[in-house]
Amino acid sequence: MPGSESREKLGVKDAWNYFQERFGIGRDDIKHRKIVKKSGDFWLTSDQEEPDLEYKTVGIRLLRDTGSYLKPTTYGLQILEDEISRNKVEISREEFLTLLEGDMIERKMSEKGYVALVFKGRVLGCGLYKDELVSSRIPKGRGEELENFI
Amino acid sequence: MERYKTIIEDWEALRKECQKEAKPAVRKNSLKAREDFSERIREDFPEAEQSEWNPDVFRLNRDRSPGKSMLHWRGEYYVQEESASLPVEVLDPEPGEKVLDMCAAPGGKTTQIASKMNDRGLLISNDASPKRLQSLHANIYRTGSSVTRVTNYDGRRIPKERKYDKILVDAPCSGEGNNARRSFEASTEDEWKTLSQLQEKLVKNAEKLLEDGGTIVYSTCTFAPEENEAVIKKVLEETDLELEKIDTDVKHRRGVENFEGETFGSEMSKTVRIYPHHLQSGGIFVARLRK
Repeated sequence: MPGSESREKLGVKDAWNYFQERFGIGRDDIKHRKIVKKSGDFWLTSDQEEPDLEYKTVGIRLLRDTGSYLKPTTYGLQILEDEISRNKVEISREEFLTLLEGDMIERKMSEKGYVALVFKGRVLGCGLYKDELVSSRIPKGRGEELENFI
Repeated sequence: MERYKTIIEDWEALRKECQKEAKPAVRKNSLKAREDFSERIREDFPEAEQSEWNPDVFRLNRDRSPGKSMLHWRGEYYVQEESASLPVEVLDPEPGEKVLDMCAAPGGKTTQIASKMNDRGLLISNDASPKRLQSLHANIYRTGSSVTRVTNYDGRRIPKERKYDKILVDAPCSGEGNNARRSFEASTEDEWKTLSQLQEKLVKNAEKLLEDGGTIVYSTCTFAPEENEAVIKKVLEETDLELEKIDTDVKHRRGVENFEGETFGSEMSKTVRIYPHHLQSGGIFVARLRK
């Protein structure tokens, strides 16, 4: 997938590099928290030393590692919305409904890859730009909830 | 509920309020809410009224579901009864602290703690029920509480590997203050006997997990003194914890000193009871303990 690379093993450094390159988010932009790798994905969590407990989850999943590329999560992009300086796509209500219905909208951007979908100044979630078209990558169930009151 | 007539002086007001549904309320989540939150929530809910004692809380009308809006979807607010926001206000978690929420699901108070910590520090959100972790996770993700780590221990047996600055024990209870759950029916002796033993053990374990100088807030949403003042009395007798007076601007009554022949002592005036008619909300009991 564009904006990320196909690799066998990805580390936390790769996750930081991905956010820097794709969304313009630097390490210094995220204070008091760190990225950790857990269950193959990258999570945003506290930078404090944690007690030695058996954790079910450790913060918010930021990036999924599909094995061949990295994919930002909708929750992750929402949390980082103030820091995102690149690859935001502003959309109208009609365009957003089109995306939620599974269709695509036209845009011209410099580089294919994942984008932050922005509606009325708020990041709603993850999209994908490719071949001058943007599609939604907001999880289907979450998108259906939103369709009823957008 | 007749057994509480002697301790609830405005009984008729309580009885009438409990015939209605609680007034819906939402709590702003500072981790997600944008600067224009107050304007935007009034666009969605023109009748939204900001609470006087807790400006993060907005009361809404009963005619529209607060769970159906883009702001809610994005986690800019959490649907929470107004009275339910008191325990975390009393706990007063601050950025950078280590906080434990012992009985965290479904996550109303945990997400409030993370919001007040401004997502800085460490918050361990524990719940004993694997089933309830699903809703806890969903609410943590939606509200963007990234410093929150979720565990699944029985609260009585959370390992004492590390100590915490502040601990919330929002204990399982008979829920008499939650009209939707109990329909104005008092708990049975069996219920409060079992629950009070659990509640006492939870606070005692919390005491062991607490830093010296740290704070525990104990809360329930029930009226039964056996689950409230009696638990605090036992904990005071058997641990080094001290009860601290809660000062709050919210309409409330003080904890009861006697009930059905049992004496809990004048110290209980340091605790707080909110009844449903105070805020058109649920009932709640809150105590703050210092180590």
